[in-house]
Amino acid sequence: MSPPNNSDVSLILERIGDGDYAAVERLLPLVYEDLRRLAAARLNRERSGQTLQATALVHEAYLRLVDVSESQTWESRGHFFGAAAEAMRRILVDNARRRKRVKHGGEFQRISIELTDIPQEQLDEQLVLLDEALTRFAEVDELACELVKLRYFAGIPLTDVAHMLDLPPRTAYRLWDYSKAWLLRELRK
Amino acid sequence: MTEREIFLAAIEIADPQEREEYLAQACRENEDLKSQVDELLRLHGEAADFLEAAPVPGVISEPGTEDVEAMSDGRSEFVQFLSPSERPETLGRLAHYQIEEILGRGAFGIVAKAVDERLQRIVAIKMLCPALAVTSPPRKRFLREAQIAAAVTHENIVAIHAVEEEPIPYLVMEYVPGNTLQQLLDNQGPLDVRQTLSIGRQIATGLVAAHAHHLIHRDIKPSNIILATEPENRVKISDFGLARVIDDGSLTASGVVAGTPQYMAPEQARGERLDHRADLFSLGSLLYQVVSGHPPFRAGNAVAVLKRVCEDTPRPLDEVISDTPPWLCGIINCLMEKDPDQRYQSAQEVAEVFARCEQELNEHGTVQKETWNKRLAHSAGRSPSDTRRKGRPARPIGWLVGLIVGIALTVLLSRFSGVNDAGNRPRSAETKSEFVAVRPENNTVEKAGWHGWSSDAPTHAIVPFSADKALAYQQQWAEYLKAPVEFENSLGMKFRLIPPGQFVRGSTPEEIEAAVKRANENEFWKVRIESEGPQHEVILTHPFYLGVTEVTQSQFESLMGENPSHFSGSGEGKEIIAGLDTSNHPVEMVSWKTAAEFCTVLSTREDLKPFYFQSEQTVTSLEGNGYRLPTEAEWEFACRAGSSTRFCTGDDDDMMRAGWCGINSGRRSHGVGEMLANAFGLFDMHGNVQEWAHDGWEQDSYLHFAESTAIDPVLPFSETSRCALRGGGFYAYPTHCSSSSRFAQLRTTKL
Repeated sequence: MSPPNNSDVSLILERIGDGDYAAVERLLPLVYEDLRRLAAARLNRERSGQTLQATALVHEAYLRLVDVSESQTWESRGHFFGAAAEAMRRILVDNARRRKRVKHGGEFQRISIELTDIPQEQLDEQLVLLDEALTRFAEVDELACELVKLRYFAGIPLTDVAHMLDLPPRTAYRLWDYSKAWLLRELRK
Repeated sequence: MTEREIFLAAIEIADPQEREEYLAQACRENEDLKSQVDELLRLHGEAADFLEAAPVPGVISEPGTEDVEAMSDGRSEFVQFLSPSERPETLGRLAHYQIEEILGRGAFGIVAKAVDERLQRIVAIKMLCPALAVTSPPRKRFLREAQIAAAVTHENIVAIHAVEEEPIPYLVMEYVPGNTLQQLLDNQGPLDVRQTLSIGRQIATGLVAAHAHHLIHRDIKPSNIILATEPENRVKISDFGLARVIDDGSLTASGVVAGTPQYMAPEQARGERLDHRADLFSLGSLLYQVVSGHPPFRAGNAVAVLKRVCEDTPRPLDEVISDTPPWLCGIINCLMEKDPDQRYQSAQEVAEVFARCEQELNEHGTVQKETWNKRLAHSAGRSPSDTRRKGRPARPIGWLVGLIVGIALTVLLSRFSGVNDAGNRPRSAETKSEFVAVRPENNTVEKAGWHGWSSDAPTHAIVPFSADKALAYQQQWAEYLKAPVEFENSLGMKFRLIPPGQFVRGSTPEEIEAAVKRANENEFWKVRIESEGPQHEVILTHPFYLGVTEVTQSQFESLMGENPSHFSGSGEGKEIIAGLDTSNHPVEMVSWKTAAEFCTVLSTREDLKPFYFQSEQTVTSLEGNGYRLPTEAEWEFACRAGSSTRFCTGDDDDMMRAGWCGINSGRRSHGVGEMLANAFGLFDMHGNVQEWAHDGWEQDSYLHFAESTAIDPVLPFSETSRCALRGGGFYAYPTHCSSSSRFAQLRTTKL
């Protein structure tokens, strides 16, 4: 697959803007490919910073893939970031799963000595737990789950998330409260 | 109605009784739904930090954390204090202010942009974060400092229009459109000489006005300086006196933890009494950064930064940026003199110097030495880096380097199959109602005994008891629970079973008085020592396992892949332990958060459900069955091991057989387990390094129990709270190493 470019994504967003909702599905693979490429090179697992870096990558992807001189509607921006957040979630969780597998293969000791950067297995473990909880959350509350993804994996301020999901800002904040409580309850089960 | 709808509606109802009525009606006898929503509402409070980027503590924050400030947006916990607005595009209303958006988050709260509907103007509203707002000293201090600051009106200070107390303390301030100096430096790098002069003069001018009101800023730094876009290039200082709000240490004198390490004056770093000249030092540090692009004192952690602030001379500015004019270097060096007496003596003096420099630069293109160096006469011939020779000798920052903390670990019993889960859940005193629900489950035996234990359970251990009895309790409970008295985990750490029990916690007024005196009445210590009283009775209803020793460097390193210790071959104290193998020394320079992380990693590795959930910088209690830090009550009970005296060895300073303290340690850490174990078989409780407790710390937390018995007490922690530290340390007087000695630090601080 050739690297996605600016015009591909902008074209799709334009289509979405015109009401072609089938185009939404084509957005995710494009954004995923772009982010995966970048993440492989840049996502370093420094202590306490992985999702901060991840959200920075998402915003970078937006500037790179979307023709920002064209004014985007909140809705099309929402679609872009929705795809990017989902892509980032998959990248982070897949990485975490892969590392977990390696460790469970009995190579833990060797790895922890060889790696000069600090292995973040607790973050891996917790990211996988969170991902599982989110998957269950999506089954009962798709909208709230979308909000969590935009906020947590794309690092978008809640006021902007509200615009993207076409919610009053106050509702977005409340929904975020609800989602956090729901997910924490799920994690504690 | 769905769970979500009910939750969202219920959360808008502030009155508990009304909310309860609403829930009863909305759930219509569907008990399951009701309890599900109740659980969500309960978790709502606890989930405040969950999945959020961490707030920036602003005090003793680690270098570099400033960046996070820009990234973390406002937090939903504030929205609960807003009432719904008729304008859907806003977040809600607070009195007659419509909150439009959250602009940022700082050390003590958030800043929002709002419209004052009465005066029809845009304002900025700064709300104290709920964690601080509920505790009395920060709340009072916030209000008092804000009221003093409100009295100062000056074009170079962000004006405070109003100070309100309800529903949460908040300030209404002038809204200044523009960037902070920090943002400008991040985007543009170092500024030129004229810009530097203009910024320096305006900050100094603002300080003149504030100092005239006896108001010290205490936290002058680039992120507290706003460069207004209207009128252009107007500099405004924000957050006057607010640094003190978070310093819950003292109301009166020096506040050692208030301020940001990189810009802090040495006297502030040492916790000494400070005056307005501390702001001048910080101004110097700030200007150093404006000219060179980075703060003068940098190091890997806050303690090391503070040490450098006190002892080191920053790299000369003209070495960093070669064309920096010597007169500008001279002014900044003079502001940054270690000894306040050697600095410019007032903000007025500094403002005048800058004004004259600007004028001369405009007229002649350069600045004469006499212009900036009024004090040339008495500092003649002294290069700025020679301060130590001329000024007072730099005092070592004893307590800072000293507060070195290790990790003691607690784990519960359920790791042994066949044992009833005795519950690893610290409960707060406030939640006694749910307390009954989590009694040890034992379905086969009738629960008729003490605190839910069956009647055939062994007796609980009531202090005082003898050493023989201590071991007997451990053995009886182990047998009853079909668990070992001691076990070794996958890292080779040994744990010993501590029985349920009862004891008197805290220090006597005489002990407190003696300890305060020993600490030279230093305010920082005083509030912490005074929090050891009043004494009160504590009951621990659950047995638990506690690590026999502090976590060692080799144990930490094998799990975490690094060894942060000061006293290790790669640490800053390597000269002191040269030639020693420190692998068996306690790990130190770990923050509370790192300690929690260690618990999580270890739990995961042993397939236990982690007790702490970490997402980026925040920690939420998951109440898993894995490893956690001991609560203060558990720690003290375990340390006492039957003794009601100051030390497990008695009241006298015989403690030196049991603990490495300032007198016998040679001022360094030692291998764990070298001294006398206590009756429970635990080592180094009275010395070597201090240990983090699970609990948050509040100055008056024992007061709640003055009249009653504390049952399984634990103080909840939050992002901004301090956490409790227990046990003696290698640097401390024996007086401060007792079973009931109690300290506190921010949980992000590496100690």
